[in-house]
Amino acid sequence: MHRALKLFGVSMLALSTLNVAVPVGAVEPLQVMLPGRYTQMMARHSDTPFIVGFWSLDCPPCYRELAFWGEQRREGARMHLVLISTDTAGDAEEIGALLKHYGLQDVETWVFGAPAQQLRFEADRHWQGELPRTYLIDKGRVVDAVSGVIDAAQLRQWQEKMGSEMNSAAAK
Amino acid sequence: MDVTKACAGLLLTISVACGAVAAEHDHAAMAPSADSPCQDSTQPASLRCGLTPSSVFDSRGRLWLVWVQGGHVYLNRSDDRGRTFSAPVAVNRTPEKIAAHGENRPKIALGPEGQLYVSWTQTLEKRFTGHIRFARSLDGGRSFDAPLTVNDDHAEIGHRFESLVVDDAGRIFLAWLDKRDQAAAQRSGKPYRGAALYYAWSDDAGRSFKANRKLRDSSCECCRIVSAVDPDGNPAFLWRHVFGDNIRDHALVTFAGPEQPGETVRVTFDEWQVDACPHHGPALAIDAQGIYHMAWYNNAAQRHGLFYAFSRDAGRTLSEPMSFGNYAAAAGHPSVLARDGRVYLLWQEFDGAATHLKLMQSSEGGRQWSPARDVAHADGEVDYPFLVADAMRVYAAWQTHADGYRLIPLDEAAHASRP
Repeated sequence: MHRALKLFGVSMLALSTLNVAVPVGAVEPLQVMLPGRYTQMMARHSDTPFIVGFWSLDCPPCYRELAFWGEQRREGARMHLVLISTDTAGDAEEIGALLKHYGLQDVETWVFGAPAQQLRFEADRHWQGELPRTYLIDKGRVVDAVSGVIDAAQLRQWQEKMGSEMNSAAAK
Repeated sequence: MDVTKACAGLLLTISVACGAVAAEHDHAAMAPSADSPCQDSTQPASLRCGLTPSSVFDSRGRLWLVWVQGGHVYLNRSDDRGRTFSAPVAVNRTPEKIAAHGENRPKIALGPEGQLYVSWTQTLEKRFTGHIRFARSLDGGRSFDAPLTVNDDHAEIGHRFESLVVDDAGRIFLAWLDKRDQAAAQRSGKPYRGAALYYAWSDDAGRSFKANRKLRDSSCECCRIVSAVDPDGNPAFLWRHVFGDNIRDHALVTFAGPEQPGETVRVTFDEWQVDACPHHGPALAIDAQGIYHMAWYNNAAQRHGLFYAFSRDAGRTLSEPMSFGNYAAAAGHPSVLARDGRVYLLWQEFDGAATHLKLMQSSEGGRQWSPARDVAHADGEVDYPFLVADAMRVYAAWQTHADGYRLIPLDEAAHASRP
């Protein structure tokens, strides 16, 4: 309770200064996902292939996927990753600790800050909330939506495709 | 950016954590509204500020509810179909952390002599762990005996998502998702998919429970289990299972007697192969003719959305599953109820701004259905909808931020004319 209240205080203070980032002691601040933000985030990354990974603290397979992302990054995989937790800002501390544990503290991270149904709908009206849920995105368009822990082969295929696209674009 | 709106949106979500002192919060949890006094944790318990109500009518038409606030399960009652409510009574006197979200909420069932039985999942310190708790009232809800922990394995592992049902002989059954086999497999380095379905029963009105018994290995880990009583008076449980290589379809178990569970049968074949948590359990009703009515959600590439089917032989064969609801409007969280030859399907859809409750009815045992119609809608956060019935009518029970707990009469005309 005290933890929740404290975090509540922190996030409200942050909001009141128009900066919605909640400090979690990680390199990348945890940003609060509000209606409209997902669309803005998509637009901001529209010039590059990237991956959006939705996950939550109460989803056992999500921990395996976070471990997988951590592994990929340690191995130097070329990928731009955005992680979105469907928990609440009250979970900021636990989210921050977990991302750090998996070596993902420098990934762009968000946490739901409005009714989950509304935020899910903005991202994908055909997604009912199963987790983890991963979107492989290129030029602002979803190329593939994956429910469940993504496997290395799926990711490699995507990376190869994006790599060849980028190479051919660079050759032009 | 509209700061007012942004703050309100955030407040709504955060109040889940702040309003419910020790309740486990969740993205699907209900929370008191931002402009209500519910955020003040010193507020007295009230249904308006409570989380995740479950409700049931008794034979006298009184509606009993249980819900969570501040580390307690509370009970209260309405004698006028949801217009007014009695003062809440704490079911557990000592506060504890209680699961209160869409898939896992306190349950209430009635004994044959007015006993009130309440169950819930106590969440422990570690993620994904819990105990199955049970308490009874033998004085019409004025007080409750001290809660029991029903799982006889007291390790700090998962015993969660219980389902509570009373058979026709008054015996109490609890089934839940149990991770003792998963933990044992981990200790010996063996693979184990999902959790296991365990059950226990009581023949002394909940004073004690028999030894825990496993029904099946490899259930899904985070979806609700649902239950009903068949015409022979025995319980049946329906849950999301993990078949083969991570296929998350549904399984059903019926009983010939309290110690005689049958073989579990697979009842859905959507082949949703996914290493994910759907957080989306099924619905079950059994009518007086013994026909099982089932509704569920799956999101396989070829077969996705909500489905309904009935079975005349306790799940061994099913009617061709009927797709229902608008998949593009996130149709989900179905409830099914069968009575007097009618079957009701209730679920929710989201149009980008508001959640709509949708209803379909069948007067032909599930073979033909009316078109879907809107029975209610609400902005903001909403809880799952549930069908409940008294002697005369069927209702949608629905808790929303905007309106609190509502009991919405459905199909009033059809039943009002009955003798």
